[in-house]
Amino acid sequence: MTNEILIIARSAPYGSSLAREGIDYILTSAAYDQDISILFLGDGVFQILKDQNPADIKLKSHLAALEILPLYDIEKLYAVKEDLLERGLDINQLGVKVTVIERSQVDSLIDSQDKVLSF
Amino acid sequence: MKLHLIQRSPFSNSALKDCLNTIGENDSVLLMQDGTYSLNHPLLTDIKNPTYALLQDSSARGLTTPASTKAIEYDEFVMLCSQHKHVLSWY
Amino acid sequence: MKFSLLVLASPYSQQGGLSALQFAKTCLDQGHQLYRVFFYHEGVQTASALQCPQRDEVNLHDQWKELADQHSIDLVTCIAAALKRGILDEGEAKRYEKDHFNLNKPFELSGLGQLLDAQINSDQLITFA
Repeated sequence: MTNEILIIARSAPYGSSLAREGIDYILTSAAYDQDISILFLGDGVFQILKDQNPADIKLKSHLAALEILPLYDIEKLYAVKEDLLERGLDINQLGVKVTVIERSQVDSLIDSQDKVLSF
Repeated sequence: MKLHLIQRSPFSNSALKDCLNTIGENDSVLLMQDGTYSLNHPLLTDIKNPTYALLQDSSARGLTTPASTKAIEYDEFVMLCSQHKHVLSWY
Repeated sequence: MKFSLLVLASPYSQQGGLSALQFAKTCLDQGHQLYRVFFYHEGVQTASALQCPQRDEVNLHDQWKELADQHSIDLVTCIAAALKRGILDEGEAKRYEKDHFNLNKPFELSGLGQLLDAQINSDQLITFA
């Protein structure tokens, strides 16, 4: 049975492994044929910045992991507009295709899902 | 209808702020662990949503629960989880 | 009702493991079913049988083991997160040519598919960080 699962990504990448471990869970869920959406919220919006270059800090690229999501048919990616603005980011600085939504839309996005988990 | 578990202090982490930025009007908030340091935070006094705090976590920290927040034990914590469609942890 | 728990908290650095344990006990007391406890992120450290807290502190490994033995609860540790943090069962120790292992039954190593299964097949998955 396919469930609609929303993953709320609210950890910034690199400083902690949580963001990475969240992506690992997303890729696993996709392999089991679940209908996955991802919401980048709070510091999670830092995950989708383009030009990430973590080779010198000896960590794997988070963006590279996000870039393979379409291969798993994960295409419902959302980012919160106010959280981007608050961090001085605009859509041209993003490295993956996301739908920008407002804070006021988050509540109904969560409510529409069968299951929700945040990392 | 969601139950939000706040597990971090609002003075060191954006868990409370991120949660309240997007909270729905029928949602409830439960403060636990270092989340109980939010008890007198101005962000919380601004909301109308039902607010709970785990009594053993707040009293362990020497905190008193204001009248606007209901102090609960684990029994009620589990019960609240069973009564909401989604339970979201903020940490 | 069917509950599962996701433990992300590091056992002795954060309170989350203790909260999860108390939540689990309360669930069972109320007659709910505990379908699975999944340890991920720093929570995988809980599975080490070699932890030696002081006598007046709670031994989280032993407490979970006791609860699992009494109520036959599934205690699953994420294998990828565990191996990199040095949590190995006998089979993995052999495979990686290590002299020792520290994960025993009722804890087991498995993949993230077990967390997905818990999320799908439980009424509620509660995260303790």
